[in-house]
Formats: sequence, structure tokens, C-alpha cells
Amino acid sequence: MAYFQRLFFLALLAGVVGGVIASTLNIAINVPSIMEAEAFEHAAEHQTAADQARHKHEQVSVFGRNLITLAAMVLAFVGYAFLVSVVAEVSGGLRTWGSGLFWGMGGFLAFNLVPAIGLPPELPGMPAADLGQRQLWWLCCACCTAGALLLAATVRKTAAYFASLVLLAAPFLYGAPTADGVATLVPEELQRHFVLGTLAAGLVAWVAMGVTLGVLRSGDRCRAVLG
Amino acid sequence: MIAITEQKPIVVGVTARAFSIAAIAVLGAILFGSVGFSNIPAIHDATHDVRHTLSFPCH
Repeated sequence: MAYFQRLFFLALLAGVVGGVIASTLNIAINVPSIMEAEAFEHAAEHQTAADQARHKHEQVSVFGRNLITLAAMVLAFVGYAFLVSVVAEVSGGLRTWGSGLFWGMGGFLAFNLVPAIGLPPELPGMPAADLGQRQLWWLCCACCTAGALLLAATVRKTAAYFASLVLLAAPFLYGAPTADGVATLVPEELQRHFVLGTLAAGLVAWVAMGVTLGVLRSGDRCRAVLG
Repeated sequence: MIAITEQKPIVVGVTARAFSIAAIAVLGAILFGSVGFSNIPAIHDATHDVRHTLSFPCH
């Protein structure tokens, strides 16, 4: 039980650190862009809504909305930390703050940056392809990238590097689902700001989580010995 | 003054280790899946801003 508890609580703590940093940065920098885009989305709905009675405006306070975002963000990063800990336990690694830095950057690449190359972070009111197809592509791309990074980092042979490249490229050769050119009122400048802002916040939060996990897992006290 | 002595590594059996890792993997997958992918309206609404900022597909 001590082993499970150690895995659980160290990942929980690192996830909370990552989640609090991610939500603080995103609420400060990027959530205002989402709200601005929602105004454009509503404007578009007003233009097209034949029956205004069906068009509802939900009233949620900004504070309440951000509080829920903080909670959900912490849960997301605790989930990430659990998954990262599992892979680290199986592959052996993530025992120092330095390796935590690399694991954090790897997680950012697999779960954030590389899928975002195919499916850029969206603002509300932007045209997009079928949700199920995008979710499936996103998940496949994240798994391929994670597999490629792990393969290249653990095997370190020419064949492994080649296989990693193929894995990395596969989702892009297949192609991310794209929307059929529907017009949007959301300005391009706002979209660009949002994409850069979310990726920057993601990198900082992932690195903070990885380093925290590395520091917590370092030293003899959390090393398991098979009995 | 309390002296901090070096703690011994945890001795753990193969089965216990495999069970622990599998349990953490399931917990991680449930959290990741519900925040990022669940289509239940209440969960979608609660995680809306998180999905948009973590570049998950949302709408």
C-alpha cells in the first residue's frame, strides 16, 4: 500500500501545482479571449436566429466560471501527472528535477503542441469539423507523439529514431479533420493571440508539473525495490 | 532537535507493484477522459474553458 500511496500522492501534489499554474495563467491571459470570441459567436447567432426565444443567454458570474475552470484544470493536470507517473514507473526514469524538466517538455509536446499543429486551439464561434472525428485524431496524435518520444529516448538506436519519425508523421500524413470554409466573425488577430497564449501557458504549466514530480520522486525515499 | 535520518526504499512485490501502477493508470485515464473528452453536457460546460485553453477539441 505504501508504494501505491507514494505514487498517488506525489502525482497528486505535482498535478495540483501544474493545474493551479495553468489556470492562473490561462484565466489571466486567455479566458478573456474566449469571452471576447463568445460575444462574436452570439452576434452571429443573433444574425441567424429566426426565433429569438430559442436563443438563450446563460448568466454565470465570471468568478464562478473561473472557480470551476480552476477545479477542472487541477483535475486535468492530476490526470496528466498520474499518466506520466505510470509511464515513468514502467520505463524507469523521472527521478531528478532535471529529468522532470524533460518529462514535462515531452508531455507538453505530446498533449499540447503537436496535436495543436494539426488542430490549433479553437475559440468559440470558429468553424470546425465533426467533434468526434477531431477528438479521435487528437487522441491518436497524442498517443503517436508520446510513443515516438518514449521510443527515441529509451532505445537510442538508428532504427528506433526512424520508427519515431514515422510515428510522429503518421497522424499528419493521414491529415487532421478540417472544416469546410465556413465564415467566422472572430478576428484573426484574436485567434493568433489565443493560440500563442494557450501554448505558452501550457509549456510553463507542464514544465512546472514535470520538475515538481522529479523533485518529489528524487532520492531514496520514493524508490521502490522489488521484494 | 529532530534528526532526519535517511529513509529506506520501499520493498514492494511484483504483483503489488503491477496492481498499483494499473490503478494509477485507470485513475489517470478517467480524469483525462472526463475533463478532455466527456460529452455529458454538465461536464462539457464545467470544463469548457479548460478544453479551449488546453487545445482539446470542444464544440
